[in-house]
Amino acid sequence: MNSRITTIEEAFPARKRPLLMVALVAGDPFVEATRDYMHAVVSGGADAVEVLVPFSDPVYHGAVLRRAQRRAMSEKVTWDDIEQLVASFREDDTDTPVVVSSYANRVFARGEERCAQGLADAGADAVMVMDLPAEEAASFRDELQQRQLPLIQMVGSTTDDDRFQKLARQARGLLVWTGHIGSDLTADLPAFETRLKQLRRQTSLPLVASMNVETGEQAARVGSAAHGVLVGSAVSWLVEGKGPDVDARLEAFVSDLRLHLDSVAE
Amino acid sequence: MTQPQLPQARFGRFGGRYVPEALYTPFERVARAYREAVESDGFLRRQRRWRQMRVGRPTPLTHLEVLSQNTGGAQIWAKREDLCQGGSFCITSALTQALLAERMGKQQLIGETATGDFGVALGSVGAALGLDVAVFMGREAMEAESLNAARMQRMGVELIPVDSGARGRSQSMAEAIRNIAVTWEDTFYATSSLAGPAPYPAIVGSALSIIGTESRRQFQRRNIDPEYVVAPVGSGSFAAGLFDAFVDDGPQLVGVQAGGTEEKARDSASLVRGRPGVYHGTYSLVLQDDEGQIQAPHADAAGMMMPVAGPQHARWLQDGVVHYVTVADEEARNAQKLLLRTEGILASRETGYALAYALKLAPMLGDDDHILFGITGSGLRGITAQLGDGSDEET
Repeated sequence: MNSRITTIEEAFPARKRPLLMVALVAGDPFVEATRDYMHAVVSGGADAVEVLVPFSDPVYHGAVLRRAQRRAMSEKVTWDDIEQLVASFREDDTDTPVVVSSYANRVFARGEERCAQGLADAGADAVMVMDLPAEEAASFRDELQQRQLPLIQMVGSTTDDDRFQKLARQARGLLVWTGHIGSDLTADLPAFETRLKQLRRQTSLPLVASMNVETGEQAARVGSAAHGVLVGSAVSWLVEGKGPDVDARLEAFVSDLRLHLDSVAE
Repeated sequence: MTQPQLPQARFGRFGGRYVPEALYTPFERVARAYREAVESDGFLRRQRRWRQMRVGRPTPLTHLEVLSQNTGGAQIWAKREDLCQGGSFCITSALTQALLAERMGKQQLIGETATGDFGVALGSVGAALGLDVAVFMGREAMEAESLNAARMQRMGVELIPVDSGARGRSQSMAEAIRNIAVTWEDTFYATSSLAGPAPYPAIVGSALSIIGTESRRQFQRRNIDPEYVVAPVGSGSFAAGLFDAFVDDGPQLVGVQAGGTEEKARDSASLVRGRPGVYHGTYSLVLQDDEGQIQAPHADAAGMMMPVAGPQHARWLQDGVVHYVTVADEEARNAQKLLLRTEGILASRETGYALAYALKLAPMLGDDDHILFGITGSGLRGITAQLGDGSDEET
C-alpha cells in the first residue's frame, strides 16, 4: 500500500504551512545527478519532488524546461532508468512523496499497465501527465488506482466551476493549478488569487500552484493564495549553467523558498 | 439523448483531445460552435457562397492527355487545387475555420504554416473577413519560402518566426497552441494540419471533403469510375479531403508518403512505419522510438514533413480502406518536372509524390482505366529552389 500522497492530503490541514513541491528533469545532466538533486531539494525543505521524464517535444513547458529536457534527451532516459532513479532515491528517503510526470506519448509507448506497475514497484507516489485531460485518462487512471497511485489532476484558468467540481470529485492526492503554459501566465496574480479563493471552497484537496515562481517573495505570495507551490523552471535554471556545486545551490535556493513560505504559515 | 452530435472526436480508436487542461475548454467551445454552425443554414450558405466567389470552387478536373499517352496505360486525371485563390488547397480549410471564428465573435486568427501556403490562405480570408491574422513559421521555412513570407507580410499578417531547426512545423504548431491558451477568448486557433486535438481533425477533414465530392461528381458527369485515387500524405489533410467521398465504394485509394532517399533512411512515413501514439494532441500513427520519443521527419517538401498523420488515416490504414506507400524524394522531384514539361502545369513538390506513384500505376492498367491524383497547389512558391534553373537535369 502506497500512501505517501494520501499522507500529504491528510496531514496537510495540520501542517499549517504551504506545501513546497520541486520539479527536476530526470537526466539533466545525467540520472545519478538527478538523484542527488532530489535529496538536495528535500534537504532544502521540499515536501514533495516531481521527477519529469524527458520528452522529445515538451510543447507545454516553457523555454527553460524545454532546454532541460533537450539536454536530458542526450542521456536517452528510459522508463527503466526512471524506475531505478526512484528506487534508488527511496533507499535513502522513505518519506518524501515522489510525483513522476511526463507526456502521454511516453506513457503509451511504455504501455499504461506496465508504466503504472513499474512506478508503483519503484516507490513512486503519484503520476502527472501534461497532455492527458480527464476525458482521455480513464484507463490509465484505473491502472494507477489499482496500485494506489493517484493520477494528479491539473486545473487552470479555463476550468470553470462545473468542470472544476467534476474534476475535483474524481481527483485524489492533490490538485495542481497550472497557471501558465510555456512561460506565459494564463492568469495574472490578482486573478489567480481571486480564483483560488473560489476554488478552495469547492474542494478538500490541497491545491498546489505552478505559477512560474522564481523567488522566495513570489513563492510566499502564491503560497498564501494556494495550499502550496510547485517550482520547476527556476530549479532547472540553477542546474543549467551556474557552475559547479549544483547540490548546494539547489539546497540553498529551496531553503530560501521554504523560509518565505513558512513566513506565510497561517 | 437527443442532443446533436459534437464533431467526431474519435475515428475508431484514433483521435481524441490530448491537451493540457488549459486548452481543453477552449477547444470544447470550438467543437460546440462548429456543431451549431454546421446545423445552421446561414453558415452553410455563407460557406458555399464564399467557396464559389472567393476560393474559386469547384476546381477543374483535368484530363492529362499528353502525359497519359506518353506514360502508356491508364488515363491520368488531376484535381486542380492549384487553381484556388492563393494557389493551394489550404484556402478551403482556412475559409471554414475563419467563418467559424467570425461566427464565434473572435477578432483574431492564429495559426502555423509549414510551406507558407496555409499562412497565405489564412491571411487572405482573414483580410476579407476583417480578422487580424498572426502566423507562426519556422525561420528556415521563411527563408526557403520567401515568396509566401513576403505575400503574408504584405497582406498584413503578423508573421512570427520560430527558431527550431528540423522540427519547424511542429514547433510552429506548438507556439500557436501555447499562444491560444492565453489568448483564446478573442482568438481562434486555425490549423493546416489534419493531426490535431479534437475537433480539428473533424473540422479540417470535413471542410476539405468538398475536394473529393467535386471530383466524384465531375467523374460521374463523364460516366467514369476511376480505378485509383492517389494523394500525398503529410499530415494528410489534403488526402482526407480527396478520399472522403470515395471511401465507401469504388476506387482503390492510395496515400503516398515521403520515403526519403536510398542513402539516408530518413522519411516522413508515419503510416508506413509509425506506431500508435499521441502527438499534436491526437492519438494516431507517429514516427517514434521505443521509448516514445518523436523522430524528426524528413522530406523534400515541407508539406510532407510531419511525424504524425491525422487520425482518419490511422483508422483507414487499420481498416484497410486506404493503401499507404512511400515514394523516394527523387521520384517526386522528377514527376513534378515531368508534369511541367508535358502538360505545362507547375504543381507543388508535395504533388510530385502522388504523381510519381500514379506514373508507376498507369502502365500496369488498360487505356480505359482511370487514375485520379490531386494537385495540392501551385509549385510557384519553391520554383527557384526546387526546380533549379533547368540545367540540373540529373536531379
